[in-house]
Amino acid sequence: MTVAPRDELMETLADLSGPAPRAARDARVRARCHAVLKGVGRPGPFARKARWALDRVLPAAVLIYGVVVVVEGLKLAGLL
Amino acid sequence: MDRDTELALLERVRGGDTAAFDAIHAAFNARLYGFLARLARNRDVAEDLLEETWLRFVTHADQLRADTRLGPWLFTVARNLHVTWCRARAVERRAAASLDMWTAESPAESPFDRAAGTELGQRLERALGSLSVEAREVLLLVGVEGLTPSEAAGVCGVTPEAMRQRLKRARTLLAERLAESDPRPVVRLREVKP
Repeated sequence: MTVAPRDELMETLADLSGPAPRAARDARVRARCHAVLKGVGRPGPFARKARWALDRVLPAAVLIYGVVVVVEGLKLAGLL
Repeated sequence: MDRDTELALLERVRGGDTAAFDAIHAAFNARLYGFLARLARNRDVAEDLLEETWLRFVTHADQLRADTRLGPWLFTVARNLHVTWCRARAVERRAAASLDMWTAESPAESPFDRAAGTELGQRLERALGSLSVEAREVLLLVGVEGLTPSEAAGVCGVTPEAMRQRLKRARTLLAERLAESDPRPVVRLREVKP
């Protein structure tokens, strides 16, 4: 038989092993990630709160604007 | 890594714990690298994409849901980065010629060939390398990385049914390529006596 049955084929695939990434590169990546996690280049508490507030204020403003446009449109059409 | 450990580590990473990050890195780094290297077929590109995957993870850590499944999330990011890389450089056809890569037809041993160990492993690596990216990624996610077809469907952005069909086709193709590369029929031919 030249081809393994399907399940056996998938089992063989699962057993494949590849080379690991180079250790020096890995160490650099980990160091960069640690720096990010420790807050280097991350927004501070104030920036995060400001963004949180902005995320809520903007949709509300858009909603109010939409309601006003609809009401004015109805007024112009003489329906209100 | 069991699910409880994964959730606990994720919670700690969301709080900026570097030791928890190291544990997650240790659990997934080699798997992600193998996935990316087999997809891109280029060690340097795979390392670049791997680095970007981890950076995306830590920069988005505080926005991740507490019940995020790390494996599918990381593989989704890695795959998306590879797709972006393919689009940007139109690699699939040209890269083998312009970069120092190995191809299915290449007589040189790839790093995976050396790591594969067994003859069947080497043939599998070559057969995998000869498939299209679409077929390869399915087999890598489900066959090599052990994701469920549903998880792999999420990673690739297709429905589970489409993923099952894709997997079936890819498996058939892989079996055909393996059969083509099997040296045993030649051996049998030599054994025939007049």
